[in-house]
Amino acid sequence: MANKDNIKKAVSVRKISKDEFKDVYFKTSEEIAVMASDLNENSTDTVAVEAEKTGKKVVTARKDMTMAQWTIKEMKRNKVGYFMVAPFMLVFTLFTLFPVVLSFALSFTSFNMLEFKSDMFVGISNYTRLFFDDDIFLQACKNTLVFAMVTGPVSYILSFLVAWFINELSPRIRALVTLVFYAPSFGGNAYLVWQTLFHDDANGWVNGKLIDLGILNEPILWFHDEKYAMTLCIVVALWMSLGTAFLSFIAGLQTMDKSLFEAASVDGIKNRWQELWYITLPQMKPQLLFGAITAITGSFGFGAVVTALCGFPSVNYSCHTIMHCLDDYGSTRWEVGYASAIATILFLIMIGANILVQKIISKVGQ
Amino acid sequence: MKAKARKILALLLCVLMLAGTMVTTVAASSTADSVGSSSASMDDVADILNAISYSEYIKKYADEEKGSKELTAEFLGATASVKVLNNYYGEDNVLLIPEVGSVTWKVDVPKDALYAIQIEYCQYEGKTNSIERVFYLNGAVPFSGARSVILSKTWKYDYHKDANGNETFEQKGEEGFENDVRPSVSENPTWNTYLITDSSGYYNYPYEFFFSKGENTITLEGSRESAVIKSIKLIPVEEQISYEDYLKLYPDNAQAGVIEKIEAEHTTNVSNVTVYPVHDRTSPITSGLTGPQSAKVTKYNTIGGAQWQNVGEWVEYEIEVPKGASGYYGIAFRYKQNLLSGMFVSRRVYIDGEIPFDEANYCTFNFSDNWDVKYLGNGDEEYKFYLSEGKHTIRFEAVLGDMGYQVQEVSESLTVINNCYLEILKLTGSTPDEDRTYGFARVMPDVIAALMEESIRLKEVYTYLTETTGLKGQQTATLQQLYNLLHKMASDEKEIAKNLETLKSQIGNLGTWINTAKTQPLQVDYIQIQKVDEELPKSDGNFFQSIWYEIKLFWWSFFIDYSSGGTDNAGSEEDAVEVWITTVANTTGRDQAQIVRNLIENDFKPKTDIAASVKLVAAGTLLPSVLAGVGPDVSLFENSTSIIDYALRSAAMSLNSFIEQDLAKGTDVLSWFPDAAMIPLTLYNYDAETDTMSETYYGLPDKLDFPMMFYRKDILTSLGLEIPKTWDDLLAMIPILQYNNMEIGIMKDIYTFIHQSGNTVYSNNGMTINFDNVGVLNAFTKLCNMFTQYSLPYQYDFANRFRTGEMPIGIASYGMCNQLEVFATEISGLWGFVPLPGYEVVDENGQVTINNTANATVSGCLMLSGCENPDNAWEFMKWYTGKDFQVNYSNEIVALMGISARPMIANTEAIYELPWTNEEAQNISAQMESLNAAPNMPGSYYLQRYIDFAFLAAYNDGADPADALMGYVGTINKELTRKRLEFGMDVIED
Repeated sequence: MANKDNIKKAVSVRKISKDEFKDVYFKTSEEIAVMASDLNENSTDTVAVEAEKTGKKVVTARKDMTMAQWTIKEMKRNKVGYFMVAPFMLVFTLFTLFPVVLSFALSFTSFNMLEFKSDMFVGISNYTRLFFDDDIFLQACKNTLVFAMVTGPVSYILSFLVAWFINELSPRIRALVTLVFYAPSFGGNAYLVWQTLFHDDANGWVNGKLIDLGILNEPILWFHDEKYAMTLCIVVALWMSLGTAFLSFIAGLQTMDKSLFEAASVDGIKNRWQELWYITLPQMKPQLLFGAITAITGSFGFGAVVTALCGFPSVNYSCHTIMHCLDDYGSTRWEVGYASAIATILFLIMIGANILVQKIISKVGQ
Repeated sequence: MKAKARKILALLLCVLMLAGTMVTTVAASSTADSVGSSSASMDDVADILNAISYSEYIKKYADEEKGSKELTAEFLGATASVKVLNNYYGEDNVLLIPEVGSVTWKVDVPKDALYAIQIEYCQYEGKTNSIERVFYLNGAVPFSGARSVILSKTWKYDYHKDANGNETFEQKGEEGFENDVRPSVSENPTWNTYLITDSSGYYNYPYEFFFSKGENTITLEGSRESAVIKSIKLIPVEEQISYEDYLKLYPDNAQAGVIEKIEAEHTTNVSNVTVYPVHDRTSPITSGLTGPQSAKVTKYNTIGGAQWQNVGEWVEYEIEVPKGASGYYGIAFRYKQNLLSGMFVSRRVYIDGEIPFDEANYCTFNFSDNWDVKYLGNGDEEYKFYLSEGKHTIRFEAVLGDMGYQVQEVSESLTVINNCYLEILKLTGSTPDEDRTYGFARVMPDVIAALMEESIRLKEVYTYLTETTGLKGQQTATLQQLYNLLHKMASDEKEIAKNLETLKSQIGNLGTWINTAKTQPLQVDYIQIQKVDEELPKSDGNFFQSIWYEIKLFWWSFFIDYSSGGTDNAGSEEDAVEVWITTVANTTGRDQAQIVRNLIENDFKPKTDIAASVKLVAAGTLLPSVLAGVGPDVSLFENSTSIIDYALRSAAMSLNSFIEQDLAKGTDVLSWFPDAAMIPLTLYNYDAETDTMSETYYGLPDKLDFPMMFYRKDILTSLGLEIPKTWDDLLAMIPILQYNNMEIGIMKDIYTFIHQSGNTVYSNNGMTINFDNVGVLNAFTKLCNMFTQYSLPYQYDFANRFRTGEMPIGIASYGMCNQLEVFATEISGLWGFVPLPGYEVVDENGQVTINNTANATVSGCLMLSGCENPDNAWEFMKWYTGKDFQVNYSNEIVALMGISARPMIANTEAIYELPWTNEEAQNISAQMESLNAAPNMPGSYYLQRYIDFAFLAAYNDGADPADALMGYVGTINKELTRKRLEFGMDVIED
C-alpha cells in the first residue's frame, strides 16, 4: 500500500527530478505487477471476491506467467480499450496494413494487373532490375532525394520561423496572417496559379512581361524546359509547404508555459535564440515531430503537383520522382509486380527518414 | 445628321471592302490551281461576306410599287435529279427536289414590282433537320438573309393509347414509381404554305423581292434535306388587318365557361424534334397528361423551356368549338419564362394557318421566376381571337418580335466592331505597347469614325431597351459597357492601345448577348380557351399546398434512386447483355446513358429480341471489376490503348470469328468505318517462324477524332489569301500573317507528318520503331522547323485566338467546331474548316497529288472475356456501332444538349445524317477518306514521351531534331522488346 501512495504522491507533483522519477517508476517488474493488481482491486472487486470464493489465487506475479499468458491477461483486463479501438484497427488492417503486406508480396512477382499466372513468381529480379537496370528509376531516386533534401528541411524551418514570427502578433492580426499563409494549402489546386504565372504561352504572365520588357523574344516553356522545371517545382513546393505543420506549430507556440520564460530569464537566458532553443523548442517536441513527419511525407509524395505542372512524364524525366516511377509502372504499363517493388523501396525510405527525424528531434534543446 | 453620317460611312466601308475583294480576286486568279473540290474558293466566300443585308436591300427598292396580282412560277430546269411525284399526300404532279443541286423556276412579271414569295411544300422523309435552301433571284442571292430559307417540317409524337383510346404517356418502372416515358417522334408530312421570311427572325414580316419587268428566274439551291414542292407563287404584299378592325369583323356569340383546356405537352404537331415535353417539379399544381403533379415520379407535364427557344420552332394544337358558340375567345396560358432575366419572349399565333391580325405577330410573355396564368397579349392588352364553331388548329411560333430589330442592329454593329478590331490588331498585335504612339487617327481615321458610330448605335439600342421595355440588368449592362468603351477609344486615340484587351473580351460578351437575345424560351403547362371576362385559374398552389409538396419531395428523396436515371430495362433476364458506360467529365454521363437506355428499349430490343442493361460507372471502375471477375459483357467509349491493354492480358474477346461469320452472311462490319479506325483496335502479332502477321480485332470504333484545318473567312479574304493546300502554301502565308501581327496554330502531331510522308511508325513488322528511317526523321525535322524557324507558338488557346483573329488559321481536332459554334458566337458564319494541308506527291505518271492524311485517334467498345453470351454481346456491339444507332444517338444528344454536343462518330455512312451542314459533312468525310492511324503495339505508350522529349530538346535548346529523335531509338526499342517478351511475342534478334 505504501507504493500505491507513493505513486499517487508522485503523480500529484507536477515537476519532479530525474532521480525522483526513477525512484517512483523504475521498480522491478515484479513490484509493478503487484502495484497494478493492487490498483485494480477497487475496480474489480466482485471478480476478486468471486475468485476468492473458488479458492484461486487472485494475484499472480508476472514471473509466474509465460509471455502469452501475461498478454492475454492484460488484454482481458483492458478489453474495453481494445473494443474501442477495434473499428479503427479493423479498417486500418484491411485497407492499409493488408495492402502494404500484399504489395510487398507482389513485389516478388510479375503480376500484370489482370492475369494470375503460375509462373508469376520471379524472386528478387524486380529489385535487381530496379537497382541495376533501370536508369530512369535511379534518376527518379536522385530527383526525389534532391527534392526531399531541399523542400523537407527548408519548408520545415520556414514553417517554424513564420509561425514563430506570427506568434508575436496580436491575436486578431495573427488569425488573419495565419489564414493568408495557410491559404495555399487549403485552396485545393491553388498551385495551378503557378501554371498561369509561368505559362508556356507568350501571353503567360511571366513570359508576357519579359517579352514586353524586351528581355525575351520567344516565350520560355518554363515547366517544359529541363533548365527550369525542377527549380520551379521546388519553389512551388516551398510555397505550398506552410500547411498543417505550420498550423500545429502555431498551436504549439500558444500552449507554451509562460512562467518558464520568466524563470529562464532569472536563470540567465541571454537572448531570444537561447530562449527558443532551450525553452520554446523542447516544450514543442510533439508538434515538431508531427510537423517533421508531414514535411517528409509531403516532400516524397509531391508527385501529383509536379504532374499537374510539368505533365507526365516531365521533360526528359527532369522532375521524375519515385512517385512518378510508381505511377508509370503501375497505371501506364500495368506492371504491378515491378511497381510494388518500387512502392516497397519508397516505403522503406520513408520509414528510414522518419526514424532519422525522430533521432534529430530528440536532440533538440540539448 | 447622324443617319447621314452613318450612311456616308457605310458607303466608305463598302468601297473599302470592295477594294479588298478586288485584291482578293487578283490574288486568287494567280493561285487558282485548286486541288480537291470540297472547299469553296475564297471568291465565293468574299461574295457571301460582302452581301448586303435585307434592310439595305429594301431601302434600295423602297420607292418601287407593290405587285398587284398573284403570279405562279413555272419549272424551268434543274442541275439536280428532280422527280415528279403523283399522289404524294393527296397532291399530284409535284416536284421532289433532292438535298444537293439547284432547281430553277421562271416567272413573267408584267411590270417592275415588289412581291413576297410563297412556297407550297411538303417534307420528304429524311433526317431530323429542317429543310434549308439558298434562294437566288435571277442567278444571284439578292441579300444575305436569302442565303438561308428554312422550311420547317412537321413532326408528330406517337402517344401511347390508354384503355379508352385517349392519347397519353406510357408509364414504366417499379410499382409505385411509374415514370412517364417520353414518346418517340415521327415525321408527319403535311402540305404547308410558307412565305419566305427571315429565318433568323430579325424581320417579322415576309421578305419582299424586287422583280423587274419581263422574265425572271427563281432558283433554290439545296443545302439541307430533300423537299417536295407543289408551287412557287409571287404574292402581292398586303398590310395585315389591325386588332381594332379585327374585333369588328365578326358577331360575338362566345359561350361562357372554359371551352377547351389543352395540356401543352399534348401537341398535335411540332416543327422540330427538339421541341419536346419536359418535367416540371417546381410547382405543386402543374398538371400533366398522366395526372396531377407527383413528388414521387417523373411526369412530363410541361413543354418547352429551353426546348422551345429557337426562332421558327412551333407547336400546334387542335381545338374544337361547340356548335353555335362562334365568337371571340381569350387564350390563357399557364407559363413560366425564367430563363431570360429581365427580358420578354414572343410568340406568333396562327389560327388555321393564318395570322388573324397584325398584333398576333408578337404576343409577349414577361420574365418571372414563378408560374403565371395570363391571356395572350402584348403586356398591356389582352387579345381575343375569333373562333368559329368546329375544329381549328392553333399554332404558336417562337419569334423575336420587337426584339428583332434591336438584335439586328447589335449584330450589324458587332460585324463592324469586329472588323475595326482586326484592323487595329493588324497594326498593333494582340498585346499592344500602351506607351507607344501608333497614330491611329492618321493611319486609320475610318476605323476611329466607325468606332464612334457604333458607340452611338449601341447607345440607341440600350436606350430603347431600358426606356421602352423597362428592362435593366445584366443583359443591358453589356451594351452599356461596350458603348462607353467605344466612345472612350474613339474620342482619345491613346485609349485604343490601352483598352484593346478589354475590347476583345467585350466583343465576346456582345456575341453572347446576341445569342441570348435570340433565344425565346417559354415553358407552358396548359392552354385554356375561354371567354375573356371569365376568371382565370390560380397561377400556383397556395402556401400550404406548396409546403406539403415540398415535404413530400423531401420524403421521397430518401427512396428514389436518382442516379439510376429511370427504368432499368433489362430486369433480371438471364441473357441480358450487361453494358457499362464510363463517366468522363463533359463527354459521357447520365444523359448519354439515358439515351442509350431509351434506344435499347425502343430499337435494339424490338429488333433483336435481346435484352440489354446499361450501367453508368465511375472512371477507373472497369479495371478492378474485370480483375475481380464482376465486369460487364460490353464496355463502351473505351480508349483504344486500354482496349489493347486488356487484349494483351487476355481480358478482351477477339472479334475475328464474329466478323468472319457476318461476312459469310453478307454483312461486312468493317466496311462501316474508315480503315484507319480499326488500326488502333487491332493487335498485330508477327510470327517470325512462319513470317506471317496476324491481325486480331478487339473492338469496334464508336468515336473517331482527327485534326482538320480551321480558317477565318473574313481575315483571309481581307488579306487576299487562299486556303492553303500544302504545307508549303501554309508556310508561305506565315510572313504575310506575321506582318499583320497574326499567327498560325499547328498541332504537334508527328504521326500526321509520318503518314503524309508515306512512312510507317514501326519497322520490322512492329518489332522496332521506325524513327531511324530517313523519311520519318525528315518529317520530324519539318515539324520541328515550323516551331523553331517559323516561330509558330508552342502552346496557345486555339479557340480564343481564333475567335479574336490573332490566329486566323489553325489545325485542331475537328471537334473544335462544336466549341466554336457556341463559344465564338460573334464570328458565326465567318469561319470554316477543311481537310489538312498535305505533302505534294509525284506519282510515276508525273501527276501531282496531295497526300493530306490525318492521324486518327479512336475510342471503341470491347467485349470482355467474362462475357456469358458472346453472340448477344456481338449483336449489341454491331447495333451500337451501326448507322441507325449512331444517327439516333447523335440526334438525341444534340436535341438534349445542343449543337455543341455533336458527337464525332466513326461510322462513315452516318456522317451525312448528323446535324452538320452539307458543306461541313462534305469536308469531314473528305478528311475521313484520307486517314491513317498508328497501331497500338505493346509498349507504344513509350513513343509519345520520347517524341516530346526530342521535340522539346529541339525547341528549348536548339538541338538538331533528327539527332534528338535518333538518340532515343535504342531506348524505345529496348522497351518494345521487353514488352513483347512479357507477352510472349517474337522479337527481333540482334
